[in-house]
Amino acid sequence: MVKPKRRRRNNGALFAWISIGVVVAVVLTVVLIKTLSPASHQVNKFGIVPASIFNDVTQVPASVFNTIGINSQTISVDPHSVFGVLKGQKPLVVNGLPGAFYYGAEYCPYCAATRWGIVIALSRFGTFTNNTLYNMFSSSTDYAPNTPSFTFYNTSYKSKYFSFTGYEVEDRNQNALMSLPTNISNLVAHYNTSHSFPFMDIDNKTFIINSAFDPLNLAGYTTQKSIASQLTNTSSAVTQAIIATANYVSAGICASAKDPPASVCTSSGVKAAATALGLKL
Amino acid sequence: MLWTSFPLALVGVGISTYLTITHFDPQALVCHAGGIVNCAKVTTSWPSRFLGIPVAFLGLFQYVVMTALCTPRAWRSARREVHLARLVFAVVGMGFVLWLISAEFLIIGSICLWCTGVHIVTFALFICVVSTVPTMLGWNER
Repeated sequence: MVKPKRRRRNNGALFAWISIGVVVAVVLTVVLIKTLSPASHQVNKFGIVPASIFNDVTQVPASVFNTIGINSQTISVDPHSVFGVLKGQKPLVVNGLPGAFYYGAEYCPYCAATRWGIVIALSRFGTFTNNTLYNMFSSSTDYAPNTPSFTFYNTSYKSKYFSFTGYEVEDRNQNALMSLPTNISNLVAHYNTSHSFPFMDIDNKTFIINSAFDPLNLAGYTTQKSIASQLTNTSSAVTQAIIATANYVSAGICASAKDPPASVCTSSGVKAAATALGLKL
Repeated sequence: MLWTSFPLALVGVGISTYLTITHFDPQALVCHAGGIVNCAKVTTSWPSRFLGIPVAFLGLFQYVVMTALCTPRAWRSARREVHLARLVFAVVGMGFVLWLISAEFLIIGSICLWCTGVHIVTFALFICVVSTVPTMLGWNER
């Protein structure tokens, strides 16, 4: 009598296929969760900056920067109490480029005022991913309440000249929002011992601590549109203060960026700011 | 698999060594950031340490061991423990990579290209090992 052959079970192959399948399934699940996750409530609170306002803020004509320069006729813009330049510091390099970061909070009114100049300056050297910025207003219960501005939370910026990241460490209700990477936290502790808001570090060379102008000057403006729509009006005191700030920030970036654009860094507004700060371009 | 796994392990050692160097000198990290890619953000985040040990160190240790376990001599070894060790290291390494991928996407919100390179190498090595070692260990039943 011939015994039937027992079918050989290939447990090894089964183990292999199941193992690989589990790995692929886990990775796909993670990617799916990330892709399908709803936008943060925090991000949607005041919505995305509309395209027209985004363009007004990120495409300020070069002539405006040069006409205004570094002064505002009626609003005091005091760079020396806000902007600082240090020599001989170890350069900040991020992803192979000169690095810069902003440290602030969404509730902070001085951050609200300063972000206008920072966003405008950044736009001269790069772009915000997907042309996206989010609206924000400073705290309704603090000094200069409800100052219209933007937030760097959940935004990203790209430039071929330098690397920038904005860290909003607290939201509009002063709850913890973004955490700082260890190296950034160390830099804040070293160069901004009081952990003041706002604070910007450009390549450990140019620093901004606090706002160059009083945010109360934006008190009459209730929307981002009301400020953005007059960024080409060189007679507006608010525009002058914002653009002056942008020129100072631009000078700081020009002093450190990799092969910065000549159109920006040789402009009269930026050169005047660099001279005022003692920066060599 | 012998001629695939050994070069893969060496590639893993190379990338892990670079990530270990840049852990001590973040300025040396070269990465074209944009969109979801931000190597510096990933390598300086809290998930970049496990029980206080930089993940880059753990990865380098993993790949040094795997390189030794994937040499031609190790593949031809008659010792069952060698093949079992190779399988264990491959599975544990893959499991840890799954945690790192989850951390990148769901916690940090950015990915590191160099880390992704290590993850791909780990997956390829994982495939090599799980598709051969169980058979070598006699898991097939007559």
